[in-house]
Amino acid sequence: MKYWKIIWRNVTRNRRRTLLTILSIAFSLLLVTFLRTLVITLGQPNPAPASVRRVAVRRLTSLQERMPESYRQKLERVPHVQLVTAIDWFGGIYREPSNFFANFALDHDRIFDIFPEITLNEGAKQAWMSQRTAAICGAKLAERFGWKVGDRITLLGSIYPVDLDFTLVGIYTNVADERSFYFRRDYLEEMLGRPGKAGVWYLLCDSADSVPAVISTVDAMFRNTDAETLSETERAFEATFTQMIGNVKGLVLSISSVVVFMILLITGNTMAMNIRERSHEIAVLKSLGFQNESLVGMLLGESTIIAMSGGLIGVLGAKLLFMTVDLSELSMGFIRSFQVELPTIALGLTIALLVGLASGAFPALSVTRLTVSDGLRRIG
Amino acid sequence: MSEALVRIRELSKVFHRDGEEVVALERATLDIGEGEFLALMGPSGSGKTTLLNIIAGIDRATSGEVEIAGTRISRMTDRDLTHWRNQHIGFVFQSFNLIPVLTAFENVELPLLLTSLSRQRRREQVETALRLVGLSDRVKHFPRQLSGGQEQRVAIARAIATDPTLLLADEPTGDLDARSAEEVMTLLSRLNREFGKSVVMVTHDPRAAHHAGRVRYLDKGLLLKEGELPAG
Repeated sequence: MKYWKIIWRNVTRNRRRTLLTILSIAFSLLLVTFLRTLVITLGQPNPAPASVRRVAVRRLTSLQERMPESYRQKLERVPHVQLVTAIDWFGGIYREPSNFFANFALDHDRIFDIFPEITLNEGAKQAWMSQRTAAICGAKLAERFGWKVGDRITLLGSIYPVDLDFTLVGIYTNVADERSFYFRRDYLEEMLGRPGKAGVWYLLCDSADSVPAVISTVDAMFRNTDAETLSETERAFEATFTQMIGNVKGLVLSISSVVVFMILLITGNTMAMNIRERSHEIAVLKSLGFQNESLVGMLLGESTIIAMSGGLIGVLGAKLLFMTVDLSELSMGFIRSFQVELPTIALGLTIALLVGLASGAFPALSVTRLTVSDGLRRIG
Repeated sequence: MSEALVRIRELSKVFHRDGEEVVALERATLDIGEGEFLALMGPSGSGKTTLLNIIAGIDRATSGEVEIAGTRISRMTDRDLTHWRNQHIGFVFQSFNLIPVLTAFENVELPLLLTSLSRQRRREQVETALRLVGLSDRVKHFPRQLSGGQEQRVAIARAIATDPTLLLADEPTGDLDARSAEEVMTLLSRLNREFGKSVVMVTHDPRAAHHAGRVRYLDKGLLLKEGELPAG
């Protein structure tokens, strides 16, 4: 391209201004990339194949209210249900509240059937089955606290009025989550004096196709009882925790729109200043025979280079940043994995391209209206 | 005057400023021959730059006709006029008007970018133009690294790079010291005498006008008769 050198020289003419504009775009698009990836990540289902066959059953009124233990037999008799387990959120504190991690009590003899993605060696499984105070944790949680098999761990009760002592018998791996702590529910029941209540029932259906029918049957079964249920797919159940934060998607969309509008103004202002300062030079180029479309092309090229530079730094910067920063660790497992994917990179660069074209378009339009004689009279 | 390169007939230019009509040029008629060096002189506001700009096709006349090398430019569209200007007009400004972010070479190359010449051919023409103005050793210098006289010589090289039909100069020595002004005028004279370039120059400076073969005066928008001087 014959005009490339002119475009590049104009981009680098006022280096500080160009750099600041590029950085504004870069940080804005880093934020947009982060927010979009966050929305995608929070909406991502459990990647384990068995996840689509699982149904979570909880009290219709509140997650904090529990259901009778007697529901187990009724749930086991629902057509297409293969296995049932009770899960209780213990909410125990390890040493101090800031050491937060998810800890659950569940049926020790069902866990590896309902959650086959939890993998543990045979020795650890045997210990888990034989020791009432046995506990297992994910590899990342063990790494966080430097735990190893055989360690004694005490969780202080925050919901229940008991402190529980455990022996770590195994460290599991799991494609979906390695930051949780599991222990036997019979131990919790014993320590609580066997209240005969369960927080959530997890059902494993015979196939993903049976899930809607199971959900309908279960909720119909307990309708008009003291403890009505709300059954959901595992994905929908997990999404309720995201929804507790609020309308994340709407919030992210609003913030992203404001950010994009902001960078449009910043880049537009830079281009308007650049062109206003150079109207005399533009008139000279016109006097030499440069047509409006060539000048507009050069100005749009300039604004696009600035915006795309910012876009590349922002989007690829986000990719590199979140490859090195473990957001799963920072969010204590709330975010499973945080990876900036190709469509998000493409979206970021498309936004940068559109911002570049839009921010250059209006100032460039003024160039087409500038007459040579008027432009030459202006002191640039 | 059939051999005239530039034929100007009844040319008028009226500006409208703050609701007032300002007559910058009134019914000017002038012929400029091929290979002629004409100086246009007159006090400030006499209309000489307006006349030059209309000849260059960078301003439009309110009425009248301008014909250059057989082409009636007053009837051309803006787009055609811009293209025509690139091919036929070399313009030298008082304040040089070089692009500050481009080197001397790149500034001279600018009008050639609009032609279909190959990169190699453009390079040859730029080098020839810069050699002609005595700046072969300054090709990589930016305008800020050149003296005023050198900047104006680069501007002249840019004006002649496309080998235009007509060279127009608006106060080419106005921003120069006496020595640089003399160098620039010598250069314009040489382009006229040795290379047969037709030159029309607007100037206040009688020493600059001395290099021209013919001088015409303007006063209050009127082109005075041959040999006539403004009153006072």
